[in-house]
Amino acid sequence: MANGLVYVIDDDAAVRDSLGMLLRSVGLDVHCHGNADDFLAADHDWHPACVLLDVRMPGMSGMQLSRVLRERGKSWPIIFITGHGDVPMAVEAMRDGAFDFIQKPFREDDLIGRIQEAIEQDAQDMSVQARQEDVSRRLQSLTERERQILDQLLEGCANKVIAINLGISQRTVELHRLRVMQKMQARSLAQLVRMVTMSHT
Amino acid sequence: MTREQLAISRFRALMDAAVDAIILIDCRGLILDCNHAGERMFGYSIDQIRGRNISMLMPEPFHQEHDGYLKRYLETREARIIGIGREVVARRADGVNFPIDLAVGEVLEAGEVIGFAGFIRDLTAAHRMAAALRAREAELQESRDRLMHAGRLGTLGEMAAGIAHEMNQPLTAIANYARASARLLQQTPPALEMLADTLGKIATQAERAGEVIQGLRGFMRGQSLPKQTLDLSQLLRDFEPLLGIESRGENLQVEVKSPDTPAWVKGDPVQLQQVILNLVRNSVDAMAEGGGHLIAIRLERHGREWWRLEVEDQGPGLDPAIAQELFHPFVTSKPQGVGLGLSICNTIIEDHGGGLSCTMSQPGQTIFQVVLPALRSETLHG
Repeated sequence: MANGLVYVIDDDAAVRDSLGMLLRSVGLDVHCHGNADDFLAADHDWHPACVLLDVRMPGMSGMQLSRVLRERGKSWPIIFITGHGDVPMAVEAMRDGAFDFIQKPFREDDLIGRIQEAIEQDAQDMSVQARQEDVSRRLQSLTERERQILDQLLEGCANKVIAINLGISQRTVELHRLRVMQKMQARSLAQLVRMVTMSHT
Repeated sequence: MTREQLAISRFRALMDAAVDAIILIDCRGLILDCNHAGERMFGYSIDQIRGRNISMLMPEPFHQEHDGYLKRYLETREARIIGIGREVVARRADGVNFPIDLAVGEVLEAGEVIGFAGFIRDLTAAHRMAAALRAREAELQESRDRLMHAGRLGTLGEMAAGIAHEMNQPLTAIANYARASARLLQQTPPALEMLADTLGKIATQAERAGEVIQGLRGFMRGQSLPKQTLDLSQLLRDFEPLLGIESRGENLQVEVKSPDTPAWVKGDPVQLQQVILNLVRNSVDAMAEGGGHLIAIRLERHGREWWRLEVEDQGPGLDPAIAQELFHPFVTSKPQGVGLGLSICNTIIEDHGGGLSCTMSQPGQTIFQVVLPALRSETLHG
């Protein structure tokens, strides 16, 4: 497996260095940072990637950093590394939407397995996002009239009803509807509805 | 009654009323007279010993050497006991030796020594009491050591999570490095240079774990050490990793400021570490209730005679009602506390000739002060 990037943020130099080495040895790219502020200042924006985060750090804690990342719209999956007896913190992390938490000392296979899953998830998130951006680009290419027709279609109105609602002929509605389907690259009404609904979520 | 008879009667009364044994000898060492107390003390009647050498009442080597002592004194007049008194050993009729306090005076006739008077006090009871006292003292010391030890182990028990964390770090790093090394070996060609580098890192981490254990081992040792000349700033530096254990977990910082020059005191390093650790732990506990993030430890000269060690936290401060009785046993501000920590610290510091006190200079700032007598450099070199 390649092309994945892991951001490692841990205040312990030896743990950080050894994690970097271990992950590189299985073909992952690694960026290491000794504290949350350095990581934020570097302003990374790489995908697919995941973040490996020590819960306890001097300065901004792992928990705080994960919240800042969410606020800044960074969507990387986050795996927390927790020490002995940090269970309440781990529960809180999961509730906050962490991808997973791994307790020290961990088994290498567990860690690498979870990291690969996290990177895969990020790749998927990215392709979903790309699709959504595609859909919204298509939506923007619609004329005002076509947009009105689309909205009525989404509400489940039949052509006849739309014609009456908009005060145009049923034939005109059919023509616009055909243009909407072409522009949105939808093969069926069902697909069109699904596509547009998803782009709004 | 003639004057002479009256004098003899008075003399007997004095002799036999004395609590101490009184024995008169001539200048050859032959026994002339002995009072009742002497008869009881040595287990002989006067008739059994009159005319015999006084050395019969002494064990070896004095038994052999006593004649020589007398002869030398009569020749040189250099007194070893006469007019001075000293503790020696005597021998009873049943052959048992016992400790005595012996004072000797001369009997003079026209300026010439014609004999000696010995006053003898049996020290057996006094010795028994002294021994009992020593035993009690040893017992007391032992229970105090046990209490200190229990205090130390208690402190360590409370630190268990922090210690586990501190051990986990190097172990995690070692495991990671080792796994990575295995992969470096599988590469073609194997990345030997990097492998050698990584093995060095593994060793360093193993040593790091070893240092934590080392610090703990000295600290867990049951008995305290005899007081020795030690450098407080060095002690603080050596002890810093163990202090860091607590603070790291709680997102606190411990800042140690000590002079570059040695701070000599006379003390038990393990006990002094116990005091410092206890104070830092208290600070950590206090700051868990809210406040800042910094625990400052300062070692400074305090006047000519003292070293002052301060542990300052940024916790919520102490309840004044508790602050009054802080150093008494079983007084605590902690919900789960037993209240022995500071009382043990106080005992230790007083035993070192120093003092432990607590001040709250402003709200949200508690300072514990330890002062210890400074050793002057003359004391060190002479």
